[in-house]
Amino acid sequence: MMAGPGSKIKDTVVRRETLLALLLVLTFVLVGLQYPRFAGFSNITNLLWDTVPVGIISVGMALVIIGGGIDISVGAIFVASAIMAGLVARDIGNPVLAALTGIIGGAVLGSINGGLITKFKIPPIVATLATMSLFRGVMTELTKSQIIDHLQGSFMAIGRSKSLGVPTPVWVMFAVFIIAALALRFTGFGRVIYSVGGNERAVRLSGIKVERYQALTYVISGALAGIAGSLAVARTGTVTPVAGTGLELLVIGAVVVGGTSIFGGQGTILGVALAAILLQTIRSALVVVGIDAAWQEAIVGVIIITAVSIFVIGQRRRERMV
Amino acid sequence: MATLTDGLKRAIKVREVPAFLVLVVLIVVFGAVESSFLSSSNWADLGRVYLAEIGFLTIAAAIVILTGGIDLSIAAILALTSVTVGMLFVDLSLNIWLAVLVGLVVATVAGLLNGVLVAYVGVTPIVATLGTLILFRGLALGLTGGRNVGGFPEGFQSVGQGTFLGPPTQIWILGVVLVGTIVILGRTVWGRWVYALGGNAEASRLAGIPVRRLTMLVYAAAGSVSGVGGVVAAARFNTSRADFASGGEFIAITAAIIGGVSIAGGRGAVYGAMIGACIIAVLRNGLTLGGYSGFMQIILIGVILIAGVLIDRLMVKRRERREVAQQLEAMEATTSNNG
Repeated sequence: MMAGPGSKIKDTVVRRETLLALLLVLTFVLVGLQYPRFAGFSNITNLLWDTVPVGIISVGMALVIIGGGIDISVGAIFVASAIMAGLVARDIGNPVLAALTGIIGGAVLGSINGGLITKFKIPPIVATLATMSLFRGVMTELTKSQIIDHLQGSFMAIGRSKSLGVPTPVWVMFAVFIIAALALRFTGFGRVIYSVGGNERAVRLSGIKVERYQALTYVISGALAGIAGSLAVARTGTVTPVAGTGLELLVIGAVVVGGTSIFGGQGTILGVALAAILLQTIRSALVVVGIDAAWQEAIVGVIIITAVSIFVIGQRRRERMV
Repeated sequence: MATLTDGLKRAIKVREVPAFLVLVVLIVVFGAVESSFLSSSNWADLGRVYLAEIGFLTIAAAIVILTGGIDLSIAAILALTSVTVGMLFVDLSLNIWLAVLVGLVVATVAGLLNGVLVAYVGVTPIVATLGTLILFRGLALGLTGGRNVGGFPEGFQSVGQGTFLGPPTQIWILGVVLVGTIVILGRTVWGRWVYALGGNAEASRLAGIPVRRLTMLVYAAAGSVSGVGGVVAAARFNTSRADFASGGEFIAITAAIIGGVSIAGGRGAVYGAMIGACIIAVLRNGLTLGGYSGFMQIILIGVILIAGVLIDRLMVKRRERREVAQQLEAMEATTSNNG
């Protein structure tokens, strides 16, 4: 391949992350010119606050997909963790214990996925489809379909507190982004995950215990869904067993728009984070511009389809050039 | 005696047999425990409420999975179709049967969009149909603004609430669609191609099968069949809503897998998938009669799905081992002949 200086510039411009960042800025500028408050500090922090569940869970999903799997059960783990954390916050009251329960509970559920997929060799989509039913079902039995509310104030304080004017959950989300990006780039775990998604057989033959790393991605995915669930219940102070329905679809949407290949081996946390924020920004922009809320989903659908199509066509053209 | 065990062995090799046995056991157990389960009114209820609409979705899910793809948008197409029919009839006062026709055209076009994205643009099926799921549900929601659209004439309602020679009307429609699908898959070149494509896409392309057109048509067909489900749902509820069959795509895919359709494509049968749909319908109906909550049903469906896949893996492994053993024997035979 000829790698002149021109192609290097082109590579940077074509990169998914750059495109997403440009789109994000463009949205703020265009909508902000008409409605200055849209680009204001309080709207941006609120918008990021609304991104938190999808943003945090997308990181776990990205790890799973980069490693060659998929996790349909994240919405169910999200709500299961929210319920576990909510029950502790209501009946015991210790906020740290409540948050830990949600996170560890999520990790345990994630390890069930990891076990089914790596020990019993069930295809990831089938295994997590089944556990999606299981987790939701068990939680609803436990709670008898009741809404959990009247949480104690100390737990809610975590969800609603701010530092430097930014809500704590938003800080947590950015911490998750940064830690995951660093881990993927600079640790053995990251290298193995990328190469497993790229060529599982080759990695296996080189003597690495592939299953252990793949199982770990599901545990992390579960733990992150647990963090998101705990933060969500701490923000709203209430949770129902049907919450988070369809969340897995939004999450996979963000991961894919963010440039992660659904076949594994490719993708960055930066891209996924930008995509999650962009999708929420567009949703919020539609409301500000005055488009009926009922049409939001359709427009988000069009955006996902267009983004993915352009990416696929661009990739094919690049392959042809090579 | 030998022939009997041979027959049994052959039967167990067929992927659909375990599912069928589970179905029979469930029916026997529920029949024994719940006296009302086997009543004719409950049979009608079972078909109408628990089987028909999921049944259409299951056929749609199965034919796409057989090609090695997946379609997450089928339940959204069901809802979009029902909403189209409702709005054309209520808001535009169109003749109801004309509205149904337009609804089915919309469903087919929706399926075609999936097909074009997958076959011609080259988007992975799960990603493409995830996007269209959100789009189609969004369209249904946007068009209706979240309200119920309905109040249909009696003739149309009878499609979802009436009976024909005993069974509910929609079970006949489901039967016709099922038989049609089985005939096309089993008796036409296009049907063979579906299995070939699911078995090995690259080999199919090299063999001259019009892979792209075939893929597109299968997704379009899945859209049409889901659309029929949408018409039936509108008739049964006498209204249409954007959130009809929410999550139904997952139930349908589960049914297909329970019924022996391999998620990797190329293996399984549509009638097997329908057995899977029947298992889920019987389970939900029987547990409801027994007073168990909806979520107990969901748990059991999850358990059966995992058990089914584990059994399937075991069978595949045994068959592979047997095939390898046979190949080894054949190789030994040829080498000893040569020597």
